[in-house]
Amino acid sequence: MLNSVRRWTVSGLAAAIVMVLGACADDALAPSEQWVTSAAGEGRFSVAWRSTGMPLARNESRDLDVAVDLDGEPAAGLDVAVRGWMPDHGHGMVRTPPVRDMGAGRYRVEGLLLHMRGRWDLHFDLRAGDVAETVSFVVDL
Amino acid sequence: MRTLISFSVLLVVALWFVTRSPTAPSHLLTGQEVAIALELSPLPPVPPSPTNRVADDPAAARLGQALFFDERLSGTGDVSCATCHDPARGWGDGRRLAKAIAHHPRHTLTLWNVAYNRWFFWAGRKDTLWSQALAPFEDPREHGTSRLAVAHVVHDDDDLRSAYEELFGALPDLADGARFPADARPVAGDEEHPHARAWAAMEERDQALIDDVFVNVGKSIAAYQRRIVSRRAPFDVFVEGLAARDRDKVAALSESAQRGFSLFVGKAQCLVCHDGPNFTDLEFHANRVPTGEGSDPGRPLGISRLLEDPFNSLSRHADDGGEEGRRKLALAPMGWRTPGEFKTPTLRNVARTAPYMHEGQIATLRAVVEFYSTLENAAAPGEHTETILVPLHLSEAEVDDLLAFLASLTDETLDADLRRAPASARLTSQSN
Repeated sequence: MLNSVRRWTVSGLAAAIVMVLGACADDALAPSEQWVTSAAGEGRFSVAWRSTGMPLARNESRDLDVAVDLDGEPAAGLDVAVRGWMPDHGHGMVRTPPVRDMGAGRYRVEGLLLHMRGRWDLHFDLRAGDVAETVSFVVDL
Repeated sequence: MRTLISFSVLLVVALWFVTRSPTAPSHLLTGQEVAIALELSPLPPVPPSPTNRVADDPAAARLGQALFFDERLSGTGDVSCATCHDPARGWGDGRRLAKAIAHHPRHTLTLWNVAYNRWFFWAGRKDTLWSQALAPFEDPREHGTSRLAVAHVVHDDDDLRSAYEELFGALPDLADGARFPADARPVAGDEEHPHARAWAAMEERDQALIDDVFVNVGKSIAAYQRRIVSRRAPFDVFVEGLAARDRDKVAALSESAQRGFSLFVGKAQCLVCHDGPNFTDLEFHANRVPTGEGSDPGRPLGISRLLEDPFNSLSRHADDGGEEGRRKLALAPMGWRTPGEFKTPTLRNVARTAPYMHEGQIATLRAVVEFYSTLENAAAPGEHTETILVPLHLSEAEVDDLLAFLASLTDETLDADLRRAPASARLTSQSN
């Protein structure tokens, strides 16, 4: 389902169009030019992420800072995975970056590589016990 | 009447300004196409190579150049790196399939701009340029030699030995034939091979000494190969013209080539994979080119071989302590992969590096464009093939325009001294 559409400038090169497919709760962080946040929705998780150091760029490895809330509170100890998918191409990323739990609802995606020009669906798969949701964004590179 | 004349004069002047306007240096490209062109040129400096501490050492490049052209580094005494990577043939061999000592099942890749690559060989079974340089030495179809034999050539030649020791310190004393046989190497899957038995008979510490010499040979060759760069083709001059609003430079690209560029980034979708200033996304794709002989799994096999490689970027031979390897190699096998994927090659100098594809199965650049236009005889799509790969239905004129653009990526200017064996492996003020 499509709850909202927001447009964020991720870098001078690329603009990110953010569509939240399944998210809820208020943003964990105050929105800024750097953070891309999910909107309040039907789910219980909300996600905010940003590229660390350098702006997100096509075919360049980046780490992401990710902040996850569950029912409005920072959610530590989750199982978190990140997937990229190019719906127009029918394939995903060339590698699956590991996600490190940094504590206090913060996670670090290490070595995200969106290697091609075009639309990427960036999925955050989140699980806390029996609660499992996917919060998705569209990144247009 | 006077008003009409005045208006006409003004119109002509205005039109002249518009057509000469510095804001519209190419009337054939849209603003978006100009923006993409500015992303594709200039080619940035050669990226750093943290796993190779001598990557940018001119003395290492000189030694590497001497080794690159040295036919003694082969089992038959008549094969060098330049046998297949001939500077006069676009640093390839012009053959469908490579042939040194024997035929190889894949086509020789050009060395133009090889230092910009992320992975090496068609299936990416190497993750550094220096480790790529090592593999052909011990392939019986290529150099057909061994790491011991390579070390002996360096050890026994005064010029090579001096150059090596100035860079890497003293070579081990290889005169003791009992410790260091003339020919020895690991041979995967054949422990009874004479080279394998000789290798197994060596002390582990002596094996490590030889591996170090072998790796330093590779790092020197890589330092040389980093200089094989093509960066100022007519297309680059054209983009300089777009950036500077210089119509003379914009004229470096014919109108046909400009139309070809529009096709390249638009209808023909070439940019999808051939993206960035080296005209490659550096990764692997199943492009449905028909396989000529057998079935070559491509990237999945490349990954498995890379993980087993004792010279990969996680090995002790990486001069950055494995930092790059942890980024690249540790993550590589977990991604989306499918059989039939091969590396996207650079398009710089593509008009001079026929034939094409991993088996050289397409003879001409025109035939490559026509393949993508029709997908005639294309291999069946795999489970995860590029779904955007559809027939382009290009007209003959469009094919011509695309070829004109691809030809505009040609720049073979390179210092002539880099195209031949140097007089000496040592970099001195006297040597050339």
